[in-house]
Amino acid sequence: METRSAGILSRRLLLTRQAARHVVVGATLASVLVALALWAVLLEGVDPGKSSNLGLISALPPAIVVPFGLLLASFAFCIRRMPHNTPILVLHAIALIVMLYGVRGMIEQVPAFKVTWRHIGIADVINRTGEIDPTIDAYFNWPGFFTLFAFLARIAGFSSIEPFAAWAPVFFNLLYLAPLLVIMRTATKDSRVVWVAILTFYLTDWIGQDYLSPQGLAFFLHLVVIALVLRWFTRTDDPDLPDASEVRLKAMLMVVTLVITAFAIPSHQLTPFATVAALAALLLSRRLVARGLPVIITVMTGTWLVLVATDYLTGHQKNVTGGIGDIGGTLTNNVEARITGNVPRLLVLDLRLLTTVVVWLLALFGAWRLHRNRRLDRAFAAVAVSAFPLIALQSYGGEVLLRVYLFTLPFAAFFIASAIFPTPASGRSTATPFVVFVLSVLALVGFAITRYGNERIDYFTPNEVSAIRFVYANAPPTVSSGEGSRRQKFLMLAGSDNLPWKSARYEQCACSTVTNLPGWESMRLVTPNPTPAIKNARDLMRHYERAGAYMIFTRSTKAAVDLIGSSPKGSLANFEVAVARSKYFRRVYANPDAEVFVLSASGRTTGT
Amino acid sequence: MTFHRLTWPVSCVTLSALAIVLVLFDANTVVRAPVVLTFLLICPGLAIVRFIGISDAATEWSVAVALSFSLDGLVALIQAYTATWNPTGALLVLTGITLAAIAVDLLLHRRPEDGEQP
Repeated sequence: METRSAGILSRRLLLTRQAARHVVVGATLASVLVALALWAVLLEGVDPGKSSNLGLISALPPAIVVPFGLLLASFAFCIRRMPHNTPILVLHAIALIVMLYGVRGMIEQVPAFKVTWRHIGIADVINRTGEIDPTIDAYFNWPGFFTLFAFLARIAGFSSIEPFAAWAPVFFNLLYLAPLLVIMRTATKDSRVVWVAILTFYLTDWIGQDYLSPQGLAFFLHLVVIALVLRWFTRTDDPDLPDASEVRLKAMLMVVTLVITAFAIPSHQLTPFATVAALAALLLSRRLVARGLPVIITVMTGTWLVLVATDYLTGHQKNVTGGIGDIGGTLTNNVEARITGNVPRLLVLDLRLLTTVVVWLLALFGAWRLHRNRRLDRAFAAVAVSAFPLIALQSYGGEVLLRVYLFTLPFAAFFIASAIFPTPASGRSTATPFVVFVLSVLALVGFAITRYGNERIDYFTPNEVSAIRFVYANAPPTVSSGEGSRRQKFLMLAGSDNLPWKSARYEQCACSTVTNLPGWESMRLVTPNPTPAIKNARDLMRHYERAGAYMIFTRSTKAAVDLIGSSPKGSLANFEVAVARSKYFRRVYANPDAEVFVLSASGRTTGT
Repeated sequence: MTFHRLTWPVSCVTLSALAIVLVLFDANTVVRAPVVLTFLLICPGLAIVRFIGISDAATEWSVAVALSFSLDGLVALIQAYTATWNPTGALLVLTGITLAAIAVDLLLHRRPEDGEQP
């Protein structure tokens, strides 16, 4: 009788436990759905135009912390209670990616970021002409990404790649998730470390290279190659990981790796070098089984540079090799030269620098904790730091430090997670989820400011896009200049270079800016004088008169001048007023966010 | 041969057929972009990856998508550099690659059915 009762009791206990588990899983799923729904509702009606110099955070409703808090709390809880429940954790990660990187897609009517529009224009050239002319500029020497998206847009029935732009950050970050999981799982069996590392990666990727860009796609390809190599082509003591002993499998995976690399090389200048650096680090740490792989990829990259990108190399040798060894110059270009602007912007820039340094320091702390517990994988550590030598190669237009941060981030995130869980036995206290939650919230606040701190200049309005489309629609077809087959471009003279231009007729437009005119220096004086710059603009537009010459001012061109502080605040707005009053120019288009001018009859005829 | 084993080959073949029909008839419908893009961004790579036989799901999907992007991009690049730009032609080439990989996979990994002599 007692045995029967005990049996019933234990069965009931089991059923209760199972029911409780279902309730917990259901509650976490509900948290994710509620967080996503709240996020979407709260973003409705948010106007990015109300962003202050502190960025998008100033335009968001304070209640936006609720859905993020709910999701992060649920994530931290799941990492503690069900670290092996991959579907639930993947769902949390997907929701986090959508909420962190889909903000612009939700609130902005046209794609943000001026470079996105340039990329739209480059793909347009390829789609329109069906050819690649490497003499146009550097982008046409690494055209892989643009050709791919031109093809995808055409075959999907779109007239340009613009429809891909708004949600590109979400798309690319979702792509990164699977290779990141593979990379983390090659480094540890502790699922808590894997998921805290994933959480850390997405909360600290502030640099915004995941817009519709070659580097956004190339980073995914880089991650996949590194994941494949770490999982299949490295020597390991872990019996659960395959050592690629099967010849057929190994050979086919090698071919796959080379095919992916073969597309990454013509897609982005820098990424293949980061891949080679990571593989070289594995080779030096004597973990790489496929020892020829870094050599093969180096030869492939070199072949592309020498045989295909010759047009770029011939004209820009100084740009490519000039910075080799000049670490001081590179750091100046990457740090000092970028930290300019008014006080709120300086705060954003300082916070970016601080985030970068803190991430690297925390990663170092995590590596030290692993080392102290004799669990540091030196090969993984070597890959983590392998991108730093890129700083010694060149400044990459003042961006190499940003790119190095991105290449190191997956590994830094792993070491930061390892700082919390250096051994499988550590971090078992009930306080650990709270620690993870509090750190995530801190990282989230930093992310909101660092990632979206440039919102005033990054976002564009439909009115601005309309003004630029007016120019493209009205500029005459390119005309022969009478020198053989050479055709003269039309001129678009913009207030500054921050506007959604170059999105069409890319190769037919000579784009210049008012702030680069020699006479603009007079606008920086204590008593600004627009006359010299007005005369410069008139002369330049007269030079292009036959092919078409337009001067354009938009909200974003003025915001960039004011925010970055290259000229006194309001100087471009004052110059626009002076242009409107000048007898040399005639307004041909205006809306609340933009104005377009051409030369008036007086501007065309008056002498110098 | 199990249903699970046939799920992806059948899905890829169906998607490729739909994509070709939508593109050849220049269908201006809302389903065109989702169908064509799903096919191009998953199927060419997935067909090859399943042929290779990677057991881990995260690795399989990473490689499938990266390989699809790479094959799409390389075919488009070859067309652009050889001045033979033809997106429909590129779609047909990629469909051919997908179907060939599926066929080879099914032939090489064909298991004896019940009652059939191995």
